[in-house]
Amino acid sequence: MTKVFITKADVVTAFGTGLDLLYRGLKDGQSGFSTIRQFDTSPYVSSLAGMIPGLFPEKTPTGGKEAARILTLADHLISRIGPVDSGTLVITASTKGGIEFANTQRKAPLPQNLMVSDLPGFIAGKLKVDRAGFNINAACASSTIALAKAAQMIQNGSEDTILVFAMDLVSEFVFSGFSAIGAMAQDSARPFDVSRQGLTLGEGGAVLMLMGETKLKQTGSLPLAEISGWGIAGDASHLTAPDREGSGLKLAMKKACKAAELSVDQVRVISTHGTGTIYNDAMELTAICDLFEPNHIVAHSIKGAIGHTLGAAGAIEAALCVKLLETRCLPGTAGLAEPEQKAKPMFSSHSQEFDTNSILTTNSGFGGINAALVLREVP
Amino acid sequence: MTDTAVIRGLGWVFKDTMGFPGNIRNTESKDSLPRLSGKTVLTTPYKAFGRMDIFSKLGFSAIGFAMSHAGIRPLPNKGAVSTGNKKQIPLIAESVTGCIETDFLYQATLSREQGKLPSPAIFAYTLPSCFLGEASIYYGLTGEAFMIEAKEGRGLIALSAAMDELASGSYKTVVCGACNSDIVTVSERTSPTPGAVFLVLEAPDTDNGKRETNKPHRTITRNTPAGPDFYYNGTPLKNLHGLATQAVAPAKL
Repeated sequence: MTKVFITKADVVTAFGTGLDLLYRGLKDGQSGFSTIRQFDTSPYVSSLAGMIPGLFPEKTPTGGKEAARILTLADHLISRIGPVDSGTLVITASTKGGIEFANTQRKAPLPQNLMVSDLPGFIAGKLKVDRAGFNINAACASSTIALAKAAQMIQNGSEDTILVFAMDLVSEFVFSGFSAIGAMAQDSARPFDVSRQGLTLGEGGAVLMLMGETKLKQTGSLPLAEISGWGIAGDASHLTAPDREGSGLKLAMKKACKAAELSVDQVRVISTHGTGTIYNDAMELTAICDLFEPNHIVAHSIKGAIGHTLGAAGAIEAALCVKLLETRCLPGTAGLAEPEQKAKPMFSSHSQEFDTNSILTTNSGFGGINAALVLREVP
Repeated sequence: MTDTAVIRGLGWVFKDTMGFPGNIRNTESKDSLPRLSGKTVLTTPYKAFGRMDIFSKLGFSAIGFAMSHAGIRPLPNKGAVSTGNKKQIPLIAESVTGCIETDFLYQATLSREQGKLPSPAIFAYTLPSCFLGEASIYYGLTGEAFMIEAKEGRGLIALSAAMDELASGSYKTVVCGACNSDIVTVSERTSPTPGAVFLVLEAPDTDNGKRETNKPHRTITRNTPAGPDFYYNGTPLKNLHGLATQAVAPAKL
């Protein structure tokens, strides 16, 4: 079975451009939240989000300047990865892309490059590679699934190098929606805290290059980590609410561990979805406590610091895991003051050190979809 | 590499016809996609159908027809759902513009000039993968479910992903297809055929006692020398819509 390695990983988040900035911001307990200036937030329950600083397009294309921010984000990510082999397949993960075009344009023809199905072609063109793939859309598990599918394609031999770009922005479209469905906190999100009220949105992107071991040897690329297992499963329970038993998440985690040849007893570190909503966090705690021994686990959520970056969240968190495997230090969960009873053994507002060589990272989304990855250190 | 999948079910909704082989209905509206209601589409009632957006109704209905053709029934009722009666079947869909009509509809609710408030009911369906979640609930499917959004939306990327799942041995049965609304896309795009078509595929060695495995015209073959090429009944398959068109001649399936 071909092993799958991450050879490049970088992010753009509310802490700025670069994985080191994200790690340092989290470790120092900083908040990436700021007051939204892009649109009037007065009709909504919050005015806060984890906005990427300085993300402004130079030109105003069809669809409007706000919508074109997605292309500027893509440019930022492209600038982080350097030259790419022309045979590389480009896959993206985004839920709404440049959806702000819907504010200025309400009928066909649709603008070029702003639909999510345009993003792989836009990025491939910029990178001068001839293999534009597709976008994966599975709500907040989009980029976790994109990484899993990319890893699967490399493992089965149909591809040897895949670039996964994950991007989502805070638009009024999305912000108003989360406000309307009652999922948004008035102030900063507080994942796994007893007084959590909901999520805070964030925007961000990540780029990860995945490579099979043969290609790795051919190119002499340096592996940063191995994606040693992945699992995806549905709740089949409710469209917008998680299954209270966490059945889908448990199944996804089991599949990922099995693929990674990791027994549940060997799992020690979990990067959780941890949105800060009452039901999501409760579901995750149930699933984790059912499957693992909480006293043996250290876990965190980064959404109390940079916000919930929707379809990009999984890839940002996977990229961060690469850094965590290097430092063996799990930054604390921002916003956590009084953990839920079940969370107490696992979560802390302070950094926690660990001494294992793998991390389980999970995400869940609307439609009852759940996905998990196991990232392993390369000796 | 060549691999094969057996077609156990095929269902579609297009402008002119909808249904599945042996149960093909002419639609009344030839110029646009038909208006779909639970009564005309579902064999077992599903409360959520009525509140779905147009895109979700389209995809959900085509999946429903394919599942009926395959003999896979929905869970009898919500109270009967348990881990024991859920099925490990993934759902993989492909589209170009996804739920863009619903996006426009939701955006219109943000118009302050008209004193409107954002609609949570519409917002819930501004993810194009929502109908896959609905189908998962209706049929009790706990396999993976995701939407592939691609420039052409012909369904062949979803088909390839589905065949990957069968080839890996992860699943014995996979549902895949394409779903495209009839909104006009940009001129430079290859416009897909409006409508939805879904397949229920099985690995060739699956023995469910409901099909004859030795009929080559019920299989899809994938050749992957340089890029995947698909064949149905020995004929190159350019899109999944073509598969449904062939199926309108009942003898073909």
